Amino acid sequence: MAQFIIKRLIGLIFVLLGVTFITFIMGYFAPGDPIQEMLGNHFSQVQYLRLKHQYGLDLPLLQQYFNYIVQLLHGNLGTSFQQQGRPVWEILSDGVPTSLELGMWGLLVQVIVGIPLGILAALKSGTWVDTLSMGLAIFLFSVPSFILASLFQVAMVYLHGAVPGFYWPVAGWGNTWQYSLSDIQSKLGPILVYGAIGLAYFARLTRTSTLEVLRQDYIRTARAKGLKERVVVYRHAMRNALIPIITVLGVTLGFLVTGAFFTEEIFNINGIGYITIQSINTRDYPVIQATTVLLATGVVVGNFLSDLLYTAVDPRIKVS
Amino acid sequence: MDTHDRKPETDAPGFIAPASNVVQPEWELNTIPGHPEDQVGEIPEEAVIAETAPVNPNIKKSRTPFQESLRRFRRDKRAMVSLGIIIFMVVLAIIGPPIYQHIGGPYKGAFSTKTIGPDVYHTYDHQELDRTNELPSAQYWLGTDGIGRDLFARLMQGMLISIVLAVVVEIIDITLGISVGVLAGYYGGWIDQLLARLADLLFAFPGLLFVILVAGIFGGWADDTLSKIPVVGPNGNARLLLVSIALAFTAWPLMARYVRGQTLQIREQQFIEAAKTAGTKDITILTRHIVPNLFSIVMVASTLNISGTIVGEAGISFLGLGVQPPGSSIGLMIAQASQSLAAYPWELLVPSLTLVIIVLSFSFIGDGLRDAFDPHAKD
Repeated sequence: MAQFIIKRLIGLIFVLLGVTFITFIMGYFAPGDPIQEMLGNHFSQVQYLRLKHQYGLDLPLLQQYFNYIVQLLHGNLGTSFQQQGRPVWEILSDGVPTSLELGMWGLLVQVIVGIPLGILAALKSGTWVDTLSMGLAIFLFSVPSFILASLFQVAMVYLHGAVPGFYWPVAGWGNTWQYSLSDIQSKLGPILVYGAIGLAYFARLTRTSTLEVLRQDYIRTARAKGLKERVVVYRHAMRNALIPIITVLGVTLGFLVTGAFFTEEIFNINGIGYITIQSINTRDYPVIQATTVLLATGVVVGNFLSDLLYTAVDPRIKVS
Repeated sequence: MDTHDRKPETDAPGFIAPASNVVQPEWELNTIPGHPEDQVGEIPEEAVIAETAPVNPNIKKSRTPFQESLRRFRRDKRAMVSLGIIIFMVVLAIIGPPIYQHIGGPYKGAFSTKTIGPDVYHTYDHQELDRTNELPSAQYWLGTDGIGRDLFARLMQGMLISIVLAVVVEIIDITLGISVGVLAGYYGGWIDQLLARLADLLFAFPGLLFVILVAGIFGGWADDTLSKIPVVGPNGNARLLLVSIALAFTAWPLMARYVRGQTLQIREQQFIEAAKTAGTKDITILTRHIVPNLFSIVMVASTLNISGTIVGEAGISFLGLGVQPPGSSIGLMIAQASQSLAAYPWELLVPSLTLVIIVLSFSFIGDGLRDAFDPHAKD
């Protein structure tokens, strides 16, 4: 086990190095001269060179990359081009808690709605319950989040016009980690939209895996012993059916990150995704690099943890 | 075992050969362990039978596994309807615009001194400023958008964009996926290691993150440089090329992994061993014996990939990083409509519904293909 963890950790470090290199090289070869953009139209050669030196942009490529990595290891994400002198971390510190909150609730919605839906569909497989819930899952899986979000907004605005006194905010996030009535109102829409796609994925996967387990010999044995159906399902089937779900927790991290871009953009939520899009529009490369590295690190570490959990939960899986 | 009787040297080897397999079923899916040699001798007999007597559907032996799968696919109603919808959309996107531009009489706008025909007001980028935000009418079949452009024309152009994108992405995806996957699976070694590392690296960029990065950082450059390529043109479509390359770049490692897995299985089969014993060159084994057997897995994987690709482009365009105005794309239409969604939900509904139908159709076709070509699928 220890050997497995060490091996995976080494692989993880190489992947992260690769990610930083790709994002760095993109920023390096990006069109336009950021220093020139910063200084505007009127500047002297001395000013230009001084600022360039200050940002370390006059060094050779590999040395710049090396410096970047060293700074990164010190927790320094660099300084913004657009908001001169402002550390990137300060810009991100506004967005990280918001995105974390959104991500956590989104994941929760996926798990507590998606998994029971899948179990229900499997237990009632072949009936209208199955057809209905899986139809819903396929629909949610196929509708891109930006359409779902827009539809939600249309519905809320329509209700506002149709029902007197009805008001539901369709933009903003309220206060981070606070749950007054208006905060909850603001947060509910984004969270539901955000959770919807992963929810469908969870539901479909849970259904497949539950059906698979229900076909096993030990379930037949449990039934033959005369155990109650409830006991068979919850004590014998569920435990094994939910194991594959753990492996896809890593996959859903990808959904969460992609979903964040659209959800935050549409609902005007100042999170990591929103900040990334803003900085892409203003070509603030240090911020883009920082958010990319941050998101990729999150996904890689998340995948690693879900792998660990997977081997820990199921004793039948031998680590190789 | 006469693996040489087809004189492989006379045929041009090609990596994208699978498409030609549809009419040459003798290579198809001969992955049933222990029976590879049946494949070669069986075909001429069957061809004779097919010509002289009607095929009895009860005799399963007379069909190759490929025909068997095709039959299963044809019986899948959901997949066939979806296929019909996609074919309809492709035809509409290609021959729709020229026809639409010949329908309708002359028109003179309130703000204009000239009388224009449908060849002008039925183009996707013509603005008729006194005819904004209209509902469907005889002149504008799906109404107009916020600056008086024909929604039907824009929708057809958007569908064309989606189709072109899907084709470009899948060509790159399949070419790279098959060549790297086959080499990694057949030879193993450093190329296998390289593939594994590269796949790990690209999986670390979740979803669209990589594409958003590329489109965002190099978008302006693409607008300037790529639009000089004659086919791409200056109509805001330059970034589409960039986006499709980026999308393909994130998609191919997954394809290569599927191909690698399948290649590993095929490599151990007896007919490969026989080919080796007969002194067949490696390149011939790869192109004639392995690649044709990848047909089904590649087809299923690329079909399932298409919906993700199309949604990806729509999303990128939605964020303003893909196709630029005055060009049209389904994502761009959704983005523009969502600015006035409260007042004119119709304009949002049209492109959204189209996108959902495209995605659902490709998912159903992909599911159908997978069920039909899965060797474990029951009849």
